[in-house]
Amino acid sequence: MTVAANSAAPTIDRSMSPGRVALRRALRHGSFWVGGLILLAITIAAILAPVLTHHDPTAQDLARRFLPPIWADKGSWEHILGTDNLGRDYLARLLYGARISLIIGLFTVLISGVIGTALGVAAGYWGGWVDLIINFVVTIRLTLPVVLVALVVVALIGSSLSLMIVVIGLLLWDRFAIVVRSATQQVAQREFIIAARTIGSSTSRILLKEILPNITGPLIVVASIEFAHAILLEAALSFLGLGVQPPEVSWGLMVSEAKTQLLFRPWMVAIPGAALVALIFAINLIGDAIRDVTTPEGRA
Amino acid sequence: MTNDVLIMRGVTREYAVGGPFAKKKTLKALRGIDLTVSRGQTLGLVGESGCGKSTLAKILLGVEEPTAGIVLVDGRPLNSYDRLERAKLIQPVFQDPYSSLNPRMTVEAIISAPLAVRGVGTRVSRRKRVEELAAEVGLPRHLVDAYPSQLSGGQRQRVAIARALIGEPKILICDEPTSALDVSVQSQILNLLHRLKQELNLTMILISHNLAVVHHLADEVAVMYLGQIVERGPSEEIFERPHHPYTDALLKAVLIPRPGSRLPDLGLQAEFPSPLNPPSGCAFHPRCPYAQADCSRIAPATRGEQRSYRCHYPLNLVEASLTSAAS
Amino acid sequence: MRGEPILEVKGLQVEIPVEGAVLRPVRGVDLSVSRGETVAVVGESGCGKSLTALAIMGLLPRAARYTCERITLKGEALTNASPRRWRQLRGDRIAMIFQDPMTALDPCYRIGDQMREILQQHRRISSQAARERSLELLRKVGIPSPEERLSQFPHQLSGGLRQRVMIAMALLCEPELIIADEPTTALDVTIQAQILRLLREIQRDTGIGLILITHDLGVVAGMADRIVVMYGGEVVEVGACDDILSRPLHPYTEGLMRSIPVPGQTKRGDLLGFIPGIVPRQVGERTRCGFIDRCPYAVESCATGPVPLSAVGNGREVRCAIPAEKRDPQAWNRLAEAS
Repeated sequence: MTVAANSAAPTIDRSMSPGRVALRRALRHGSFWVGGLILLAITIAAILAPVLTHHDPTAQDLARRFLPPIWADKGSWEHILGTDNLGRDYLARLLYGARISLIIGLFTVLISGVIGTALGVAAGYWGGWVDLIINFVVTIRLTLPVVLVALVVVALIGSSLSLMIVVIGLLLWDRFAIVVRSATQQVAQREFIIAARTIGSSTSRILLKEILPNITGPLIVVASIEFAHAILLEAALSFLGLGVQPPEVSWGLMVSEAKTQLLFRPWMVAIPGAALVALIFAINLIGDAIRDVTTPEGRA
Repeated sequence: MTNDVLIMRGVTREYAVGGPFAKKKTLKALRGIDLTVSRGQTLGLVGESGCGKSTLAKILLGVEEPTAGIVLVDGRPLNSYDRLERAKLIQPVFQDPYSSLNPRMTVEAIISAPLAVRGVGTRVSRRKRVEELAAEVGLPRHLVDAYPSQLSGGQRQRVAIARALIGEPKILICDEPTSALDVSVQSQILNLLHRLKQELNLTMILISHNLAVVHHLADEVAVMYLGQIVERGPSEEIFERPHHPYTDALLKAVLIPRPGSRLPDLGLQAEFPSPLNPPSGCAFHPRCPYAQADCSRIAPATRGEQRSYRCHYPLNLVEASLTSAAS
Repeated sequence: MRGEPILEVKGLQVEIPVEGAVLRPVRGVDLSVSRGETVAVVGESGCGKSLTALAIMGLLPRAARYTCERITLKGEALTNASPRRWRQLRGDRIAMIFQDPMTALDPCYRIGDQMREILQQHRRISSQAARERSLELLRKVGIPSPEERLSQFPHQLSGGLRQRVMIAMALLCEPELIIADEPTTALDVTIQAQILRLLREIQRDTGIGLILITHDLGVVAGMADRIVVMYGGEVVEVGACDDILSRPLHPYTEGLMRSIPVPGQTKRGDLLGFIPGIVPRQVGERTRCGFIDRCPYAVESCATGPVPLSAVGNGREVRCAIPAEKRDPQAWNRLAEAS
């Protein structure tokens, strides 16, 4: 009876799910693009390392030590970034070193994310004594100096990639716990949580289906911060000689091995250093963008 | 007897407030509530913020436990039902449809959640049921695949009602179901609730501060003040001849959109007291325009059966004595 | 009968750029208030009533752009006034009362400090004199033991007391105009009546002009001299309060009146009237009547162009192309039955 009756059968725009809306907004976000492209490039380089270079990153060639990179005098296409003190190809070391950084970042975030999220959700949802105890544990963890503890553990047990992942993972969950706790507290106050309880939902269903999807925004932001944090920590430990052990390659180790050449062959420090800066920068840009696109959500 | 679907006797809820090192105080949110609601009846629960009406709703929904007293639903104590049984009996409709729907779930997932939790039916059969209910509550069918952010306030409240009804509960608890909605939408939800309650023979507890809404839906009205029921009776009688001065003030406070209507003078003194520190005697005496000396000392007991009130000097008796004195 | 005009606003527009579009929540609103007059701006959420108030107060969110053909306060043209001039006027000659006093009062400062700051912002006045003036006003708005309140923080007061403090603060500099945005919506019903009476009394005593922004026609009936009904960012009906309440001329106003249950008038379970559909998103230029999608009377010609606000006598204006006598009296009933 209204004149402007809808003619076509109405359909709903299925691409309006909160997750997809956030993704669409992210794709319009400048720093998401810049960070994403850098991260993508580094990831592809790490995966395709054997294709991109035919050099073995650990193969020594003492006859060809300290070759300069391509842009210096006497640089050659054979060793685009030159060679190190044992004649190993610097480009190959850089590419394979990226694998270590990304693996460390990914797996430590997985470990610390699971620990921190579980503790944070528990503290935020139940509150009371649970909250008090978890807060206490978080405070204890915050009193431990991360680098020092990592040093001690590695010095006592010895160093390996998996050990380093476990150690860093067990040390970096605090920020997850703190952020997830306050995000959970906010979500838990909303009426749809009470509604879920009154329809008889089990606690695990409430935590997994009602709360977790609503805290993914802050969770991803913290994950990005800790991802970068873990990579830097690995670099620092390797630089100190307590992280990745030769003949394995890592960017921190490359900086460490090149430090004596800082004054004579500065590129040997600058190249892995720049790679680290680019990776951390990219991750932080992505984290910022995600924070921007997920903050004002819910009401749309 | 079996017709009384909900019976509350002496239901009390106290909270200890104050931090771990502060001196604990007791907040008495509910101070001995007696209520009986028969099947198919709509009880309007009226009162201002802090009167305990929302605490009462939470107790009925099993979100809170009473510190004393008993709640019988269908003849059995409420806490003897397990979580799924209780969910099948009692369902809520909340005030704020922006907060009561999970923004990360589709309308279909929200409405079918009570069935999914109970493991009733298949995904396909649940979807069919959701579509039936959407039609029942007047939600356009295509919105079943939408997310809450794509819905208007009225549509969201329809989703919340559909979710409450899908498990075919016996009791529906509506906590300010329309106060977050615009006027023109509010009337649609009121129409819907009234139709549903008749079609499904629902027992409904309608909690509201808006007396016009209560008048429109409720068969019985209970007026709450500071954790107690101060007056209760059939809706028409309460609205026509209030006995308790507080009910009278509430009725006068309804602002009617009619030309020439004036702002009422309620004659109320002071403001709503703190539930942490309730007044002595009759809880209403510091605000009551008719209070006498003994009101501050002796707490009035509940008088009357079908039509009960808690007042030493109820308006009906005061009026009666005035007219007899005049004649 | 009406006093001298205090505020006159003509052609107020607000635009808010959002992702990929420009929202136009206020589209050419005219508004005027005279001395001692209460003008109620009525409408539902999204009609632009609050943004209108914020625009007049110069308090729009930063992203919003606003334009105005003319805005005068007591004869002073403010159309192109500098932000500095606006700061001088705000709190001094125009004051605002917000819906939620808990968010409008600063939780970190004592009531007395907040009141003194407002006074010293606009007047050269000693702290002692400011205190005297604050006490005087707290007494005037009926706050018990005002000396004590001066040293209290907002959270120590009840909702009703906080709203009284807000009113006292609005009155500090003896403004000519008060804009009250849903001043009692957050309050309990018994407190609401007290606050409204207080506002009404103060207005009678001082002759302040009052713009009352509300969705509640009951509040309007008790308070307003004139009503401005807004829908979709436009004024759709203007007239004297009692005239509009007894005979609404715009279909939207009519629909609102039919939606409200009234104890004593409607009976339990009566089918209430309602307005079908939802408020459309306010983007783009008006090319047809803004209410057409929800109007029970709409005909083909309503879609041909925007409908102007036209005077229909007796100081009333309506934005509807269909004269009252040509409307189908059964339209609303059929609509209700069809649902």
